Amino acid sequence: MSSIAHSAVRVSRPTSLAEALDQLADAAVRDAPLRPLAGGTDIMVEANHGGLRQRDFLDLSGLKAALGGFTWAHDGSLRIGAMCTYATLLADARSHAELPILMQAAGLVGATQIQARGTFAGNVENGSPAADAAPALLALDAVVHLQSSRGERTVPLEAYYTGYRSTARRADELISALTVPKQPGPTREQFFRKVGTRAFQAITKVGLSARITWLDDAIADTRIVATSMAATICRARHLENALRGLTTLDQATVAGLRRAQDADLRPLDDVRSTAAYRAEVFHRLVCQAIRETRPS
Amino acid sequence: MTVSHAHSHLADAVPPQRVSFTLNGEPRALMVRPFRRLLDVLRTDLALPGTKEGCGEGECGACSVLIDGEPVNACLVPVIQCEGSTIVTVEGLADHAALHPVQAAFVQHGGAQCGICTPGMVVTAAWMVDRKLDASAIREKLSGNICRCTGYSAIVASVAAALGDAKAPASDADGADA
Repeated sequence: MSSIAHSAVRVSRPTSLAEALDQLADAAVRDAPLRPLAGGTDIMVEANHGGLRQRDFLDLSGLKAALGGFTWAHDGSLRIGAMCTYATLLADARSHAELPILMQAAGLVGATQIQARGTFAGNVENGSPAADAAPALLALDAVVHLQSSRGERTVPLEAYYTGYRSTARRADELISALTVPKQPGPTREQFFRKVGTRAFQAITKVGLSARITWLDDAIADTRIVATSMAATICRARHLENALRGLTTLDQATVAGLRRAQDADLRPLDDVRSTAAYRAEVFHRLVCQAIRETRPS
Repeated sequence: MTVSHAHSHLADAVPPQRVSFTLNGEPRALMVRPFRRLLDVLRTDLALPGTKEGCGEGECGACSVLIDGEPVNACLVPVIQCEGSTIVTVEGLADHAALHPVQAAFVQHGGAQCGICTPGMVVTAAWMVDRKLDASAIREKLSGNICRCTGYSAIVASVAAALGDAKAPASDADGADA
């Protein structure tokens, strides 16, 4: 199938959420699903480089009143609307104070122009294994709110990816928001590192987003999220188990962490990096995260 | 260079839709195919070639314009998303014959070399002036605007001057740019 030209793309631009959900439902019934279009910073790159496969889009730019912005709830959770851009949340002092890794990730998406347009929900739905914001959201236990004309359901981000660039969203559903729960520990326990050719305008070669909960001198609980290490962003479960109870980083422990990592993550050689580089750097980032999150 | 409209298969083309926005202070209403890039609509339909195309993938910033006050890449904006918005291109910065302070600073400090990146640099810098950002933020906030001549020192000095930072160096001795 050849790529689709810009002039051939059909775009519907609803101005109410109900209208958007009805259009998604109708299209799903006809087995001609609409692909939601938010900031366009991924979809337009596909289109400009002849990689577009869909012809029918649901533009969400008319729904900024319903789906834009963010709200802090009484329970300390942060709800990020589907049309909330990186720039919008980057202007929020409380997000910096409580969710530093999400802000570090958002501040490294593209650069100024991309951050003004790109959305957190779009980054989640795009499903890139090299995503910036989605891994931080996963390390922070975020959940995805999916709305359809049938109602709303909530899927933990941890269960959202079903394969390479494939998500749990059904054809009649729209991400309406993401919720980041109140974090259990101090912000010192959050760690984010993106390794790319340079800081801005670069796609991640390998990245680690983590939350490491310490109880006295031992690791009590972790979220170890790998970027560009598998077909999707993912938690490294063997590694998380190996980290539980860890107190020191002696040679034997470090070797054990590497074995656990290799059981979880089999990175690939591709245009951006090699499997060996990715595995070695990821391992070092995990050790760095342990050192930097440890209580002093 | 991506010339997307040249590859259109007219048999597949969708009908034009009406899109209205304010452009450089003037209300405009157009009949356009909805997914066309704002960049092409500006340059071709509206005869405003000041906005340049560099990479066509949101990396170089040569096509930067302001939409509702924020710098964006016009190559990544399907024109239908401009409905109801306020757009300012490089052509809209000057007040008739009076240059925008950023333009005047680029002239004074030699901020342009080959010129392809200049409109995008000037548009992003105008946003920085509007937001009254600190001169220490220049390199980070301009990181989405790439100069293929690598003339960053004079560009940064121009922006610093426009931001009113007299302490900004005219050039970096080591030429190292972020």
